[in-house]
Amino acid sequence: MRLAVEIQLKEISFDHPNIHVLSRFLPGFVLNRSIQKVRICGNIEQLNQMTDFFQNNTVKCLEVEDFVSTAVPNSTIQSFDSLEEFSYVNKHGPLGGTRVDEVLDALTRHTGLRKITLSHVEIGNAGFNSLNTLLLNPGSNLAAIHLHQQVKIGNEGMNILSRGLSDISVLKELEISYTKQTIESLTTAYIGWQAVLGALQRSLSSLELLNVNNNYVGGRDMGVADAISLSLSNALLHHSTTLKTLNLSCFEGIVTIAGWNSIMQRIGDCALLENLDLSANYFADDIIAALANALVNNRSLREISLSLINGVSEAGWSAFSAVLRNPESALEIIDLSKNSINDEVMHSFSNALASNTKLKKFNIQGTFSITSNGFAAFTHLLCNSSSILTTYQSNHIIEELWKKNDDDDDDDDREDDQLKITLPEDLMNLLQLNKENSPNEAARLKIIMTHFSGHEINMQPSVRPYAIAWMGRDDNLYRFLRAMPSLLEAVGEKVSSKKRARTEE
Amino acid sequence: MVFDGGDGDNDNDYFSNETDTDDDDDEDEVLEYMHDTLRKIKANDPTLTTLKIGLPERRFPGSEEPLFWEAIGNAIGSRNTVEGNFI
Repeated sequence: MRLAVEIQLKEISFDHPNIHVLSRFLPGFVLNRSIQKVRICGNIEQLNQMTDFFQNNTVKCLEVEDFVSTAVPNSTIQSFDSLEEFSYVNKHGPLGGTRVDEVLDALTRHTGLRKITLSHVEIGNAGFNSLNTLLLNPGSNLAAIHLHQQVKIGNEGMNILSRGLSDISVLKELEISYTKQTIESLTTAYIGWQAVLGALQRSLSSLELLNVNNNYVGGRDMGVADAISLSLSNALLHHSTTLKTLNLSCFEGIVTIAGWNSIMQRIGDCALLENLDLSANYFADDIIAALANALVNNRSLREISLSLINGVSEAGWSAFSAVLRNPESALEIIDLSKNSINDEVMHSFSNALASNTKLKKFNIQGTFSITSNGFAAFTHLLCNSSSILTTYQSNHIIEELWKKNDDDDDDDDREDDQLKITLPEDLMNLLQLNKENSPNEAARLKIIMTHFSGHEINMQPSVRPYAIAWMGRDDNLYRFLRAMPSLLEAVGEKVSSKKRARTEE
Repeated sequence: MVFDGGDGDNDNDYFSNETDTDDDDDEDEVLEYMHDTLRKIKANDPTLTTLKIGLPERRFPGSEEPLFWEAIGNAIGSRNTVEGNFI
């Protein structure tokens, strides 16, 4: 018997489920026709009982994780054709009996497939050939490939992949990350990367995301490092009209200033770039200056990470602050954590931010050289108390000076605690005030707190009605009136005379 | 909202409250959570986005657990059978 109400639940996750739980759960569950996302973590012996579910649903996203003792359910994947996203993760090392090429071959029927994520798995040459088959299928819609934390990608695998990358026309996202620990040799790592970057220069696709963080891409030779820099620069130029996200964090092996300068120049050419991660690299002052030059007129970038940059001095960071002077800057988040930021740098950034109307988060977590003098520069930036006008013109946008950890990961929490800097209370209060109020309201409250509280106000009588109306929106009016006893003198006299009159009656 | 029926992460699994040592209270909370989840599924409550089926750190009281999972499965599959027994 069917219920009148059709169930609309969209996602289900099987996470090392108890066999007795499943035996009760599955008979009813397989009749479901609403679920579109399924995550299967751990072995499910009864997976064959779910064939009916997959055949009759339009499951769009399948995430398979940690099939330890049995093969990935290729027959299940082959039993339907509606997938748009597929993810295969194995954090427990290479699988016995499960081959990535067989999993990828099983996806051939899913012609609407748009995204593949492979993580912690050994792809192997056969796997890359299967990936190419999916990429080069005439009806392929594969727009995103994320190869994350692979085991032994290898130069031959990179060569095979490059053939697919140069010919596919619909690819929007490419991630090849965290291969640093698994490359065959530091001396020859550039060979595979040269092939991939060369393919990206010829690609028929227009990438919107390129993530190649935590890789060793160069060689021991300067000439090789420069050749890789040139290939990456040319690849960035090729995708400069579409690229929105670029992650070159911990991109090791480019060792010359000329190499980085050419990359920085191309970053400047990416007119739609919104998110840039260059953290955990070694930059000299010249390189950070080249980045500043590339971004000084940028109008698209919203977030930049320059965390843990070695080799940049106080002068280099001060030069970079010029990026925030750009009146058309769209930067909302800048991460300078774990760097050698000192008081002078804080003064440079506070000056640069005086007219900035976009930056909300300025992460200086783990920068322990800043003293009260450096923080005072930001207090002054957020509330210049020289006059009502300067307070009004202060920065009412910046909300945070360190990164707030959004997830509940205990390890991240512990790391955050170690890096946390102690801000002066007045600066904390001003940041909070900016965060909880619109810029206009924050300005109003700062003016009231700074100029209309705690001491007598010298104000022209003609201005008083406007000031009273302006502050009369909340309980700040009381503090204002207390600060202007002359306003209440006449009231006191009238009250006294009325009281006398009533007494006499 | 995620109905966390056990995902091995030792937090937020249904009725798991490690700071609460009062078993009687736990049982009441479990039963309420079970019924609440069933109600949300059947009412298509938009706040219930994901259902996790796994190994919770703590068990259901008495013999209710198998019936609960059967009722959940039936509710998701829009099948009305043993639910009455569970409720």
